[in-house]
Amino acid sequence: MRKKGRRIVEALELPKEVVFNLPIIQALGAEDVSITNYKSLMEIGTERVRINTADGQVVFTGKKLILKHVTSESITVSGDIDSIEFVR
Amino acid sequence: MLLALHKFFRGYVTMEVRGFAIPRFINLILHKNIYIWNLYEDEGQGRTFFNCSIKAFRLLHPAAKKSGVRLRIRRKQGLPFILHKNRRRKPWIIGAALFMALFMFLSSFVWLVEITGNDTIGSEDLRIVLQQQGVAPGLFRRRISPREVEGAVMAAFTNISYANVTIHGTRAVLSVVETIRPPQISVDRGIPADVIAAKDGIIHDMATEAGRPLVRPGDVVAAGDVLVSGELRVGTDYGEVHSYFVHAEARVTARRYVEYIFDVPLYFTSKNFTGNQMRNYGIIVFNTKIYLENAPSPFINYELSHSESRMSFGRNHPMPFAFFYDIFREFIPETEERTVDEALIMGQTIITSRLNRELGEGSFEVLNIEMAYEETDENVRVTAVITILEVISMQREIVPEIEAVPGE
Repeated sequence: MRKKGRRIVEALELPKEVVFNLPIIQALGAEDVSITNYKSLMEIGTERVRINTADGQVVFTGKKLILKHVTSESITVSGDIDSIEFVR
Repeated sequence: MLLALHKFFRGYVTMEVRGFAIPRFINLILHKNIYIWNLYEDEGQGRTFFNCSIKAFRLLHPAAKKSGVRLRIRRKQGLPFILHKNRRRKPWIIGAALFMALFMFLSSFVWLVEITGNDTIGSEDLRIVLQQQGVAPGLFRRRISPREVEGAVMAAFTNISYANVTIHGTRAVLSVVETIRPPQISVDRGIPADVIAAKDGIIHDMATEAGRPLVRPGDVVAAGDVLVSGELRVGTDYGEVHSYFVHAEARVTARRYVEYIFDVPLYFTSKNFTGNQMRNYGIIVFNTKIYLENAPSPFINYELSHSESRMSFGRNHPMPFAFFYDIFREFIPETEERTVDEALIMGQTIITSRLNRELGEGSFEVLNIEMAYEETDENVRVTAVITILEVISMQREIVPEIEAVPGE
């Protein structure tokens, strides 16, 4: 069902982030990374931040991580970000 | 910047959260559509900090209870807290109120008058008219009626075709549009007129639209000569000559000679700035200059420049206080010599700029420049004869004679 749905969406060129509720991740260098369309916060740490999305978990690792802006729509992670990882 | 200002005025708190289910607590409060910022874990201390508005703070407690975390206010920041803390301090409140009152009082005056769009009219001349109309630094803002001031400015200067006065805060702006004067005097169509020569010259080209040409290309004319007559003569079968008058129109270009004699100095001084500088400074309160440092110039040769920075609340609220600098920059004058060739090149530029100034740029065409020079001890005396092509036609109204002598 999921596969079929994906094919229809791709054929019709529908925005995937809307149909599948996929997260949009925007990075401003390695300083500010904002993630829109997330589900929930799972871990808040100085070296690791885990965010749950419809597409699995997004894990930020780095040093002195801080969540600069947090709303129900989006989160901005900043600090010395080393990696952004997708865990499914 | 704007967000920070908003946060300051609305007030916010820094919260400290302790417990196991901190992410769960954050998720719970986010579901209430709360904005929080600067969320971070205090490493190794088992506590997390975040900022939220006073309004959001009231919504935190149910979520804290549900997730079993402990909350504490770490810091209170912003205007509401400052006001609350100082509510019992009378002098403080009086001071703050006085400041606000003074600000509002000073805001009801015009402190800065800007003039834009004037090219040939001097800003000072416009300022005098504005002052008469009550627009000048230090005058009451409410008394100004922009429409009346605009009318007065337009009436005072005939070559202003549009004037607009706007008052933004304590800044008054006058923008004007100058009329471009018609290049030559022309007589209304319908009125009989001759075309005459405005200047001496040799006719080069004529394009007659109406009237009877009296000269031909190659003719020498003097200023005031009729080039194309507006009088048409018609002979009848009976040998009588009737004349009637039309509005003659023609564009006549003539070759003209202009002679310039001028000196180009062979020696000139140039300024070599040493980099040494000294400055005096002070403040301007209302329209009075107060020097805080006013030493005489330590240099013999110097160039003085003035700069001013006005205290202003935003762009539109300049205040009657400014800080100014007078900067003295030292230079060593050095006498330099130019060769005759360089002086002649200089002469060319002098001729071009002088022609442009005297005849109007673009209104003529230079055909030839002949230069002769004579070298003296200090100067090169240049005698230049310039041949130019210029439109010399001008219209003049025909004043009909009361009784034309028949046959003449």
